[in-house]
Amino acid sequence: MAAAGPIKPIPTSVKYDHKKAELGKVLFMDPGLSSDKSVACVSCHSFDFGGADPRPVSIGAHGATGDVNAPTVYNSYFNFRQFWNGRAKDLREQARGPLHNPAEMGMVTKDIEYYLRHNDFYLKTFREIYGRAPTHDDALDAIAEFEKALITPNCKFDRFLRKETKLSKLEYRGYKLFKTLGCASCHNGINVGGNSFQKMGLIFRYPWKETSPDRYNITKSPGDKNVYKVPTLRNIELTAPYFHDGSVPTLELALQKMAYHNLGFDLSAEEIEALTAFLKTLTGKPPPIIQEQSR
Amino acid sequence: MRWLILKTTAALFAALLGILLVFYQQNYLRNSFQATEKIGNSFRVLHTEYIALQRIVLQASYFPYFDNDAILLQIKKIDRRLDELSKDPGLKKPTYTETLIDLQQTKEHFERLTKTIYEFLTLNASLKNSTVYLPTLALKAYDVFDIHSKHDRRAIVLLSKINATLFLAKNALDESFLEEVTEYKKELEALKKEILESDKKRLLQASIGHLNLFLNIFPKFREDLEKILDVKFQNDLEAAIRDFSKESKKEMAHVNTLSELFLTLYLISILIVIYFIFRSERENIKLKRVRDQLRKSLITDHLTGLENREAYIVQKRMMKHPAMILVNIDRFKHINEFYGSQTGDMVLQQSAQILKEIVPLYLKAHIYRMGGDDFGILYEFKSKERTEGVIREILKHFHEKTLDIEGIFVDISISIGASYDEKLFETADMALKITKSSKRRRYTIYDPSMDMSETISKNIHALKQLKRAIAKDDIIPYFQPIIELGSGMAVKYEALARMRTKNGDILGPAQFLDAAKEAKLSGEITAAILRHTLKIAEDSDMIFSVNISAGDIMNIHDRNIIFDLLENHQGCAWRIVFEIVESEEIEDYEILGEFIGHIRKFGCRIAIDDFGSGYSNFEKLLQLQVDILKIDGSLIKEIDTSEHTELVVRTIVDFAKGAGLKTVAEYVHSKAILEKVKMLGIDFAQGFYLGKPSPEPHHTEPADTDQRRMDGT
Repeated sequence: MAAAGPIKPIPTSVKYDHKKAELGKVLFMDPGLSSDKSVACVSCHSFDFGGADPRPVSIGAHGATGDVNAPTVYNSYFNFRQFWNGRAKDLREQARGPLHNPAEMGMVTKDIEYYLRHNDFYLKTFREIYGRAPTHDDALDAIAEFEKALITPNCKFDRFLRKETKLSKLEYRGYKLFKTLGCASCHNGINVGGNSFQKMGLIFRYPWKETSPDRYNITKSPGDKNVYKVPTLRNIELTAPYFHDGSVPTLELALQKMAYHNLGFDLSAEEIEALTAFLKTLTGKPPPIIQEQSR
Repeated sequence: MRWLILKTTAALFAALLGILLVFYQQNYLRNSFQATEKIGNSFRVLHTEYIALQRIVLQASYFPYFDNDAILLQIKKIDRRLDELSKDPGLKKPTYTETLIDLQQTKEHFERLTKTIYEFLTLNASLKNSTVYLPTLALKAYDVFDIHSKHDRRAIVLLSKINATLFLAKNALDESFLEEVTEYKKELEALKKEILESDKKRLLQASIGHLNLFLNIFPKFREDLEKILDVKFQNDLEAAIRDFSKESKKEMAHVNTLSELFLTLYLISILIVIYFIFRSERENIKLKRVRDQLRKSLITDHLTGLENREAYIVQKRMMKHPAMILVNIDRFKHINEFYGSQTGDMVLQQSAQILKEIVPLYLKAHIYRMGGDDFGILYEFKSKERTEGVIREILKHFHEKTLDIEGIFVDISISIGASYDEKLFETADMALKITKSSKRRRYTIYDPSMDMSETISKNIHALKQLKRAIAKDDIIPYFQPIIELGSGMAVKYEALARMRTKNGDILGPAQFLDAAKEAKLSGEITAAILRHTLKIAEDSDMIFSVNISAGDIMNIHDRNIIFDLLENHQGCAWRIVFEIVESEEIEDYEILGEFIGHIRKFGCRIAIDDFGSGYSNFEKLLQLQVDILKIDGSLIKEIDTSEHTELVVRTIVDFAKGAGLKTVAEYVHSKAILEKVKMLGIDFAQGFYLGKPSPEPHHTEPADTDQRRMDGT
């Protein structure tokens, strides 16, 4: 029965096209794809910070600052939608966004293709893989394929689910609290989140700004204010700062804030300790592909 | 041949078409069936998948926490299946219009449902957040509130009641409980006002927040869940399935009709093949019959019903050693003339019948009418004795037989020639001729020695006759008048050679001239005619022309005889005109010139005979200073019918006039030709119409003297 547990382990490997993914990896790390050659995808989805940005909001080309804390790119393949407000239905669609956003990489299709077609490596590699000169769409395809490979399997909790290990008493208590305090009603599934839109501030309102990257942005329905795609809790200890606005620097604070806004009550120190211990069991192994030598 | 190829091609084509049609039909049926099956199956699976989705959603609403991935996965599955179905080429046929419309509606409905499910997920999580946390708050209340204080206990009891009611409301999905929840909330709010401790106040505040949330969300949540669990979508789907099954039945009916059509076409193609086979067979039979009839008619003699000579030619070739008996009815010409050709035909018919009856069967003979009154019997040769036996049998039978031709009794006799030589018919015929020419023989069997002896005997006979005639002075001239057309008077006669035989018959030159030439006696004949003519000329005032051949002139002996004769009759020699015949054979014009020069001394004149026929060396001939041109008879003969001939004759006449020569037309055998000849301005004419040759040179008037007199001649 589904009630056995709200969370499922990540598969230890996913199938992906290695050639495309390797090309995608190069593209992912190439600042040439930004208008001033200063930022790459990896600038805001750092492999050192769980595939996310350690800065509250990201800084794009020409020093432009965004309004959003970059969500982790790890395991994003398992999200039902992409972006905080879920406006992209898959990774390809997502990859398009930052490339074209003036506050991020600030490119247009023509620029991207011009750049790629004046690079011997890209010319040769695209031709090998796609049988033609580099195109914007093929580049997005390669990046999406790379991102597909960015999974972090074998975290302690997954191994616990697979009955390969046991949780510590504290961690286990955290897991139980996670379920009884209602966290699991939103944070469930393979990605411990990322499978529904939920409101931030059910009991006590969360501050809302015009620039908040919420569902309201898309639907313009008042009920959708501060409704976001539930973020994944995998690798959460690595992806500080937290929330869509990157306003919270620590996990403990983030827990307290979530309890206040969505439960209307404070968590005790013991509860915080247990929950934090549990959340840390969600930190998986870095994806093998980022350790491989490229180019 | 071309027809045969065409027919065969058509038949093969029809057969091929039939086979292809069967294959196509099988293929078509299988494909349609598979396509329909696949789509029907997809619809059924879709239905199951949707029910599964409903079940999962219900689970999600029921369990306190749940893996939402399961719902999203199921939505994705259904999405994909709907997409595949709407793109299925099997549904692109016009038959499935309704199904496609239904499917489109279903798809749109599911899109709306998906949005509802997302909303449900949001609301469900919020409700769960509260329904899970409210009991937690109630538990906390035991720590915060003093269970022994009456006032505090109210709060604990109230929170418990609230939890119980919420549990019922949520799990029963019954909005009627919301009224009680609202009541409890009001009580909680009142309680909160009375309480001063901040921790107690905060707990109540949080509980009120959750209740508010519940009250706000629950109706919408219930509505969404109802929408999701509603049968409307299922109805849509079922309508689509119903329409599809209806339309696929129609499609199957369509397919059935088509397959019936294919079957009909297939049968037709088979019928075509059969028809062509039958027709070509029938035509073959017809053709064979026609050919047989034609062959039979070609090889049958229609009068006697016997086979004819064509059949003989074919059948002879098929024999190893063919033998032939040739039977001829004696004096058949006489029978025909005497009794009439109808009786003659009957004689032939009866003779044929007799032959059929008497030729023994063991010969396995073919009996033919070879033509005229000749019958042939062809069989495989065994022995001369056998052939003679058969011949005697035939002779005996015909000898005894008197034919009864419709009351007329006709006695016939037959002659027989037989042969088994290589040249079967010719030699049998030769044998027959020998029988015929003998009075005693009734039959002859060919022997190769007969061939030569016959000719030789004929030649010897002719030569003997000729020599005798020369010796006895029986080569005599007959005179044919030559009419001067201007006056209509016979002014000249041509002396023509005749031979008188031992028994007084008069033979024309055709009977002896060849033999004479062969034996170099032609000069003798010329001399004899000249001598007789000169004698007659002595007592006549007429002019006589005598034929002399180039060969005679070239022979010095003959020349001298002629010169001697002229010398001896100097008084009348001038009346002689020498007609040079066979001028094309002249080899030495010098000798000819000398000869002419010599005879001119006697006053003789020179004519060229047969002028205009064959090869004539005009130039040389004219240099000889001839006096007369005798236009070739073969030209005159057809002068009244052929324009071309007329033109040739006219040219000769014009030329002769220009050269001061007289012209003579020979072979004038009709009035029409005479008229023509006169019209052309020819000087003289001779021919049967004007006068036949006779022993004496006198002119007998032709049949229509009156006519000529009227013409003023």
